[in-house]
Amino acid sequence: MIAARHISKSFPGVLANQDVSFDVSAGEVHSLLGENGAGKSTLAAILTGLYQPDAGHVELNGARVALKSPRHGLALGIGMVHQHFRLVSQFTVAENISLGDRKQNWILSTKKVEDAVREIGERYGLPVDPRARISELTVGEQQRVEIIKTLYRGAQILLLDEPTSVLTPQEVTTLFDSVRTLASEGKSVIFISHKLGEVMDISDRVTVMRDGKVVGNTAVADTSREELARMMVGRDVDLSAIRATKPAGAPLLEVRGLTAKSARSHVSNASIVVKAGEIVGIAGVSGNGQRALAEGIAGLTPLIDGHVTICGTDVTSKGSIAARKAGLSYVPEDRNGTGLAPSLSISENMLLTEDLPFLVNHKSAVAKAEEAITTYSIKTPGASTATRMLSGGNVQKVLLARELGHDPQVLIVSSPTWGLDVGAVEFVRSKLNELRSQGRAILLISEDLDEVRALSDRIYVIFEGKIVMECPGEGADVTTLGLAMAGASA
Amino acid sequence: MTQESVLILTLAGAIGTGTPLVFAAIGGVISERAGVINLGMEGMMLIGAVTTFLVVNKTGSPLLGFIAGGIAGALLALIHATLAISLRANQIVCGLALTIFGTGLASFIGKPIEGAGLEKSFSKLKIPFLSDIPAVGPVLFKQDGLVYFSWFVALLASLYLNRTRTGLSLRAVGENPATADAMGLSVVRMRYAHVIIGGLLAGFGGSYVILRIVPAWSQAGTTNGIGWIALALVVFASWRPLRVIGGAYLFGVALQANFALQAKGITVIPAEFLAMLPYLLTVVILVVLTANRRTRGAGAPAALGLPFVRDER
Amino acid sequence: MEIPLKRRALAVVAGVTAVLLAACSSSSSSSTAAEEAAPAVEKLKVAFVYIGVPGDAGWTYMHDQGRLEMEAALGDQIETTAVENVPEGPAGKKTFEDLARQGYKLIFGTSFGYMDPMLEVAAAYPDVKFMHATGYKTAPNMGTYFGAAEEARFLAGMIAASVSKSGRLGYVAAFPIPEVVRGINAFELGAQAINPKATTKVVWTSTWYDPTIESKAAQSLLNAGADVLAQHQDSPATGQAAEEVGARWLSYNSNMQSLAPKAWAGGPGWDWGPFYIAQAKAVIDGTWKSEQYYGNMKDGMVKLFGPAEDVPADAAAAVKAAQDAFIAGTAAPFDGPILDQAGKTQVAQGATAPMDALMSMQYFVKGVQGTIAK
Ligand SMILES: Nc1ncnc2c1ncn2[C@@H]1O[C@H](COP(=O)(O)OP(=O)(O)OP(=O)(O)O)[C@@H](O)[C@H]1O
Ligand SMILES: [Mg+2]
Repeated sequence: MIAARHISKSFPGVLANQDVSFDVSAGEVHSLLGENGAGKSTLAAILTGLYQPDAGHVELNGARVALKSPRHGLALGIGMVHQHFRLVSQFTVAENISLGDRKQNWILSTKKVEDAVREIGERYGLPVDPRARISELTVGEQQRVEIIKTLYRGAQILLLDEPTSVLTPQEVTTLFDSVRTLASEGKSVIFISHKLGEVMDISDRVTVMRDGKVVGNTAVADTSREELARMMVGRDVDLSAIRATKPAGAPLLEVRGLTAKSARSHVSNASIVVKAGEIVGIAGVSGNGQRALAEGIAGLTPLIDGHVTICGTDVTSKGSIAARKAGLSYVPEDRNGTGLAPSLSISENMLLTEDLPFLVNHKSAVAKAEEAITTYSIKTPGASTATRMLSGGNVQKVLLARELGHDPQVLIVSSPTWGLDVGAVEFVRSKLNELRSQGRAILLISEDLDEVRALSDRIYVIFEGKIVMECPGEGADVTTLGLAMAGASA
Repeated sequence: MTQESVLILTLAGAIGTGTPLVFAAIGGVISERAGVINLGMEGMMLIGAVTTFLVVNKTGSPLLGFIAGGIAGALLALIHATLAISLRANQIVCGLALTIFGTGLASFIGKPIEGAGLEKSFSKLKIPFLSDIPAVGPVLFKQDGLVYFSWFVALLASLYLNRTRTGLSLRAVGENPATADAMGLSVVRMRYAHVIIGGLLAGFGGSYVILRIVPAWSQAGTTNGIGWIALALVVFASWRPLRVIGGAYLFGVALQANFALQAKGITVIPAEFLAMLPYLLTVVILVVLTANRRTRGAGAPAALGLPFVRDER
Repeated sequence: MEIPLKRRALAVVAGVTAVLLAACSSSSSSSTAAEEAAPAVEKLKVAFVYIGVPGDAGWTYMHDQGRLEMEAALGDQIETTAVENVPEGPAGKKTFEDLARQGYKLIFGTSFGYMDPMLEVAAAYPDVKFMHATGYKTAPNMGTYFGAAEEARFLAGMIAASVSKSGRLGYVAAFPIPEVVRGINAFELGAQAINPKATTKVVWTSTWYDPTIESKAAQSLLNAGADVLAQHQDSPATGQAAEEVGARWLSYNSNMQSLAPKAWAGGPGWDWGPFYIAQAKAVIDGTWKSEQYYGNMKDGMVKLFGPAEDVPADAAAAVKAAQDAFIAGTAAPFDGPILDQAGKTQVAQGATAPMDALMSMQYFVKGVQGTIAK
């Protein structure tokens, strides 16, 4: 149905796509798999007309097409749901769907659109209130709007760029049902993801990319997770559980009765202890107070109540610098924002949290950044590239490199492998494990239950701002944890 | 003299005073809704004013003069659009530059008419029946044709923004250009078009000053800063055309209040203070509106002032 | 790739700004003329420094008309320049200095606030003659000049009263300074000469040129029942407001009949030409000396435009008679008895207000409605 033929695309200093070819037939769910920065998002952008290829072309139903713009692509039936949603948050669902639709009368009648939204929602299992404002919707609902938007325009080919990374496990299940319905109607779905389980679960065929090139193409039935992982990173990866080998030491992080608020997140009366040589997981659906908890500990938001002690120093409400001095590092989930200054270069970002002399030594900063680029295999033209130019996964690597570089006694990491490719996930996990064996205390906040279970020595479950459960990581039961995360055990 | 009460006369007068603001501020709303701040408004009003003057005295047609004034404002806005949209220059900087440029250019082309009088203009148009309604009639329906036209413009702008396909696209371009672009809308084209419409309306505002407030040309003194008031009004009206009308007339009343009190012989409040009143009032209302959680930032386009670059991640 | 683009844009903005600034300054005709160093034939170089632009048909316009009259009359003997938009106070000093350095030998400053800077520069350039309009400080090479506008104001008041049906006049006043107060009083006294019951209501705008505000002030007076308006500002907005409702109007500075033809009934004004010509001649002849010149209707510095055709013949005749008496010196606008608003005698029967009383006038005469802010 749609095919890429020898497509190449370069950005200053990067060959994002190199002679890429692949085919997707009608009714097929086709996954694009690849490391961070492999060029998946770039390829998707070319297939929808957002970027123009430097060489090669796109074929649609066997005929060569030159896609001039996303509008052109959409008119030909190619729709895309981006990693970052393209919705006007001040508009209603119906308004967003009407946007740019030339079939509409000049005088808008939202009624028609609203009916269509309801109908599409019913047909594909994508329920959403057409009159709701985008800003009032959950991330999962917003994603539905994006899908409905493309279907409303008559998309026959749907590209989904890392659609599951923002969803709860339940939402993933619903999304997959919808995808299956779409495929059964003869539509093609191109699915970009790092999660091998999901890829195996939903797709018919897989194309694997590495360094901008296609390195493999296979039917799912003929392959396995392990093989796919090997194709992606070029070696075997081991994502099995790793636990502490030594018994835990003295408590390094003590949180007692912490109550705090931050943005739209709040946490009340949370008590947590993390000991030396221990990874403690905080499991929970995002938005249940994780952010307030982390920021309260890190001194980024003042405590309403409670105490925080880091390595024996009381840092309660003393601010982030005191917390840092006491030995804490914090890797937030919101990478380009809280974590990094998107317009600064990698080397400048590396400097941000250091105790700097008045005159900055750029040379040594660059050297340090270059070292991080090699150890973490960050895909970038160089140390002076602005972090906003990097692919999603590489941004995370920069942040981790900086925070782990401080050799912290206590580390808080929030969704550290979100959007990372398997190779990188493995690397991050081994890094965390290494810190643990060096006797550091690690608080791992994540929605990804598999990750929490694979790494943690102990697990707390957070729900609506309260710690509702505590259990050992070894042998923790998914169902029990899942129920607690949904608030059922309380 | 007529037998109308002072209140009615004051309200009727406020409409005349507010009309240049209505035109210019709606121009501002349209341009800002597309995400482009236009600090060149004052310059566009002046260019509009001088062009109107020249054309009226050349052709003897106030209507042609009015239209030409709008076109002149639009042409100046085209420069702003080129700098701010195509070259992605800082909108504040090039808007200010444009006010300086517009003022200078207007002074330059206005040299020959310095000291001359405007030869022809519009007069008031009583609307039959409607103007006989007590109180409302004399306030609203004994105005000149351009006042009625300004209402039409405001209504049209409001419907355009809220009820049409293009209006929706325009708002999207101002709120989230990347999304609009992804939806296949041409951000550049939309912004150009609406900055130019904004300039057209600012030009109309300047024309109105010459046609109905002062029939002589005196460089920057002609508008004497009302372009900046129009700019403030855009915010005060939370980027809504119909609210602009209310704000503009309120400003007209506030301006009048100073002199109405003086004329009544009420002098407890010093004239200097009263002279500040309209500006003070505008600021106070702004503060009140911003202090109120629900109206804070209401309508402020999210991408206001930001140039749009597609390739940026 | 986007960084060079931004730079380019900035450069363009800078470039455009430069062009615009050039356009602005070239419109103020002046300074370039000054630099055209014509070989020093014995031409007297005369400079005029303006607070505003001549375009307003008002104060500056009339001075510029005077400059043009001077050029027409003296032709080859002189060379003139005009510098517009020169701020008052210390900021204006540089302009006077530049002009003196460039060889201008006679420099007119036409705004009150130039007084101190002119005095300073005059001390530094003893061979340059300075003339300052509306001021009161002098030096051996610096004099002052102004005119008895009150004579024409008085006549304007007579015209106003004769075209008013109600006897209620309105005055759109600028700033509460003696010059403006004097004009208002003379206007009211003139009105009383025709209609003893005539009153003048005053509103202050605190502007010299702001059409929007002045038209509001005019409307307020009209709304309060005035049917004839006078003004002190430079903009004709007051005339437009009067024309709008069929009221009458006395303009100021220049002949503004064409700006509101139906409303216009006349107006006081200036003719600086003869004075400027005489000054230039005196410098050329070497007879110039520092003085405090106070012109009037007799020497033609002060003028009355009008009365308009439709002013009743007997009133027009009375205006003419009063003007003749001023010119002959047999009468003056501030001849006693004059009572102030409180009823206190300010000028006694048979007396005339002396010059210093005129120059510092800070009271309203009886019949004026309004207050003078201190
Ligand atoms: N607009 C751009 N400007 C400069 N470089 C870019 C741009 N877009 C992509 N790149 C670079 O091209 C390469 C491929 O990026 P792309 O986003 O396609 O990767 P990806 O496979 O989607 O990675 P991830 O899984 O991390 O999202 C990266 O090295 C990235 O830095
Ligand atoms: Mg990507």
